[in-house]
Amino acid sequence: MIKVVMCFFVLMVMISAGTVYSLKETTERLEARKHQLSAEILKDRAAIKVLRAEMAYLSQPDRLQKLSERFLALTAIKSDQLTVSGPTSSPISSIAVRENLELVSFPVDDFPLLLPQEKPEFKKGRYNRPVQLISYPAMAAKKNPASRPKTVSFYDRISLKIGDGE
Amino acid sequence: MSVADLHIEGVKSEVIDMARTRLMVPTFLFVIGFAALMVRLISIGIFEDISDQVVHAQSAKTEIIRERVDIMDRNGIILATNLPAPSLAARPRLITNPEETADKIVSVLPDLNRTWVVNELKSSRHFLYIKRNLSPTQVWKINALGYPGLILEEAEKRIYPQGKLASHVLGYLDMENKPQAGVEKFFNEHLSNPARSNDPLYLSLDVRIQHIMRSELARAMDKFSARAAAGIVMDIRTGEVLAMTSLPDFDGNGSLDPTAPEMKNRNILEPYEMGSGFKTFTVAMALDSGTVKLKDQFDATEPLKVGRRTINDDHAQERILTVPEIYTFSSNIGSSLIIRELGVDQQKEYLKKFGLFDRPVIELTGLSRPILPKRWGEIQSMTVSYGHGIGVAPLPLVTGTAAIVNGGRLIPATLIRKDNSLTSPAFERFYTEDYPQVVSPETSQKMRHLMRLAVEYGSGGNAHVDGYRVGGKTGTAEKVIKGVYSRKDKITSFVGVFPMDDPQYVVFAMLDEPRGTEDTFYKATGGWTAAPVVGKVIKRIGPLLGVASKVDVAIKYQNLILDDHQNN
Repeated sequence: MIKVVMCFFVLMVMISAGTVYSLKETTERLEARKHQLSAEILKDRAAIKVLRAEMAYLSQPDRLQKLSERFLALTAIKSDQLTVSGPTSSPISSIAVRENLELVSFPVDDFPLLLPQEKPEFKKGRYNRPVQLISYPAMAAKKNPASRPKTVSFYDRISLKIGDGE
Repeated sequence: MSVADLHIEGVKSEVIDMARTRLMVPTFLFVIGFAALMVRLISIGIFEDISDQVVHAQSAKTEIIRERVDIMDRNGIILATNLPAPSLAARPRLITNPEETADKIVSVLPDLNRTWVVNELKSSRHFLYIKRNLSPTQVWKINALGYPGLILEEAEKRIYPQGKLASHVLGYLDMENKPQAGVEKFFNEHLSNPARSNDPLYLSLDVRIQHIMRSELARAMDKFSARAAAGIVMDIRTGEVLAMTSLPDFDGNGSLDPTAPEMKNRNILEPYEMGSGFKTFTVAMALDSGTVKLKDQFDATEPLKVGRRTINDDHAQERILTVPEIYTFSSNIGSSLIIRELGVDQQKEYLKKFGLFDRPVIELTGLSRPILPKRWGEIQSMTVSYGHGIGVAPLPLVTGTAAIVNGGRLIPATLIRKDNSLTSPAFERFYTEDYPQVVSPETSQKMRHLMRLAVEYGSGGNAHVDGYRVGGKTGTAEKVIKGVYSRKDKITSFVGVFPMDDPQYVVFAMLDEPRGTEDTFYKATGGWTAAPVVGKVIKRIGPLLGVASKVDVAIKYQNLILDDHQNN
């Protein structure tokens, strides 16, 4: 009887020791994964930081203005084009007053939001600088039919060869 | 079947017994062995780490520790940040072929001198730096070369993505990454604190408004061939500076010479004689003290002779002027007569209250003290009344003017975004916080009308913007060159406030030594050079700042001043 009990206990101790070992190993594997992930997160964060700096660099107001002047037919708004909608001066409540308008986010700064008063009409002669596409050499080559190789149909070639066309 | 049946007796039984006894020994050994294994298994499971991998993983960083905190504008656009910029170093002893290595290095970094690199690589030193602040592409190429003797050292560099835009406010770092000017220096403790590395510093600047101010100033500087220019946009309810520009300016990303003229922030660094801009203070103090009423008249028919000096008017009307007329036509004679009524002591007391006797208050370093007259007699008080003989930096002029217009409370200028979120508006704070009351609200109300009048009828007409009710005061001061006032070299300025029926922003522009052009009839006064800049800036920033334009209010503010019943 004592032998059986002893065997049972020894077996139990062995099994529990094995379980603890395997648990511990799993934990450590997961922990290593966690650290690997957090290292990756750090790396990604550093990349995001670089991208944000690049975004700030690329969206310099000076640069945007130059690009806008070159590629867009937008001009500076006039003061009478904007109005504060609704009776209150609070920007949020003034939007809420209007139906079918949903506030998705607060404005980035605390300045009151102005709404366009009238839709600016596009008139062709209004802008002294017309919108132009920059001319890329590749595009010019495509447009120019002279530079395209002449294709002659099979029938034409055959008839040229056998002199049937005459 | 029982065990007893198998019992063997005799000699054989002895042999079997001996075999059993002998078998006990290996059994015992096996038991001991397995017991040891089990003890080890348990001890490993409970007390020890399985692999040494854990040690590595735990030592890895869990937070980005940056050398410096980011600086953002009020909308969260990056003004200054740190980016990795590794340095290229070398261990010359590990380099077998210096010439070939140098060739490869120069092909990646073409600005290096090949001979210098070869000499460095041939030297007997253990370790040397070849180049600092490599770009990511260069790092990749150096790694691709695969030389074991070349080392890339981790380092960070301060980057200002907006370039020159806010350089004077931000300041810069020198070669040793020590802050040398601007916010970088003032908030160095915050910025260099690793514990706050994920807590960026939000400035009150708005990149868009800063850009508008800078571009308009640059255009005016170019047009009038001015030597320098400065400009400020400030919220008069909170004191937040939305834009502060000083031209010429510098790019904090490049290498800098601290003594160069473009390093000066003219808004705070240099005291200037501001000219007629001071008449705002003169009239405000006269009205506030009750010595002078709006309808009082002063004789400006002839130049005023005081001692050996003669005070002239630039826009001489040669008649008797009322106080609004003195202000609108910017009469030096008139303001001298007003200050004569008021007296020297009251003038000094008020100027002190407006903050013109102290260093300007703002989160920047290198603030200059004003230059005050050594002897403050009657003649000095008269010249000070129209902004001559006293030198102040532009910023105190702006804060002082803001105080006069905003209801009479002197709110110090700040470069830090105040927490004026939509739930707790800045206005509440403005009405509750305890700022010194320098003039009464009634005086402030009158000054608003006067400033509007000066733009409507007076010298500041070029600052007019449709719908935005601009008010303001021009200033033209002759520069002192070699101890004598120069007729040609002037400091011209304009302090504008808009919208005048509910003042919200003050816009200041100053040009140093502008020259008149054909458009301005060769005049280089504040009204012709600085006022148009303010007008153009207001026209562009008005919609951005959410100031609604009203056309009808303008008429009310034209007539109110000539019919001032409440005072009499």
